[in-house]
Amino acid sequence: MTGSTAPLDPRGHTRITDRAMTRLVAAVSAEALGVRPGQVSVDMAEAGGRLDLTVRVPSRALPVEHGHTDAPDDTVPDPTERAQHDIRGTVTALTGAEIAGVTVRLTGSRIRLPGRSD
Amino acid sequence: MTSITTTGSPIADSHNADLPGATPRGTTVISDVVVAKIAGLALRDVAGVHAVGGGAARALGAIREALSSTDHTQGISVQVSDAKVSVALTIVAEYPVPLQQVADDARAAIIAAIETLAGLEVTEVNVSINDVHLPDEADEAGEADAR
Repeated sequence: MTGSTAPLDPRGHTRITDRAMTRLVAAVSAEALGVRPGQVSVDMAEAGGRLDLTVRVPSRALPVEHGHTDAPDDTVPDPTERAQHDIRGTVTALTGAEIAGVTVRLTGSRIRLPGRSD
Repeated sequence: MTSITTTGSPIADSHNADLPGATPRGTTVISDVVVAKIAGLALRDVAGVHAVGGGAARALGAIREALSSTDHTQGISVQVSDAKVSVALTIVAEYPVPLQQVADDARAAIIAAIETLAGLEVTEVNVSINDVHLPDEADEAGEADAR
């Protein structure tokens, strides 16, 4: 016998609302990226029964060790790449949902356009 | 037509026969509210359930609790027909407890409680996880206010 607590005869179904899912993904993402849940925004899209997650976080919110590596070469691994894997794994473990993909977008970079005087 | 004319003998027979419903003397009606309350009380011991009910229900619940009259049926709707019960439940789960696990535990607790205490058969318990409560949420809000 395994120690599984899953009922042999499931009576009834379980529904996870978008709100619950969004909050959970935000919390997981925040942990993976080292920021607060409130700093993360989450978009979800369903594609063939699987979830496509887009996580947006302001780059300035990231802790120093995560980003802002001013290394000029491309050999430095993307700090969001590990987070993507963590997010996918943890969200799957916590919700049982199938994840099609996780996109982490760093936002809030300041772009200064030259020649604007006003 | 099924005539239930009780004479002396069927009662005597009922002691021998293993049929508890053979000669019922009166009916027992367990109202939906009672079943819902049993379900609500069963949820108190389930780990990972932060709150029961949707946003509006919980807001009302907070007022009720302030008036010290907790509604144990909050977030639970029950339908009883022919000694069979179906339950619909809305909960807020704790982070980071696996949601399916919380739902399964809640379902098992409710089924056990209703079947044991009310003696009714539970056909289904549909669980809707409405929200997830983050443990440091209150701290974060306080921090934001402080700024």
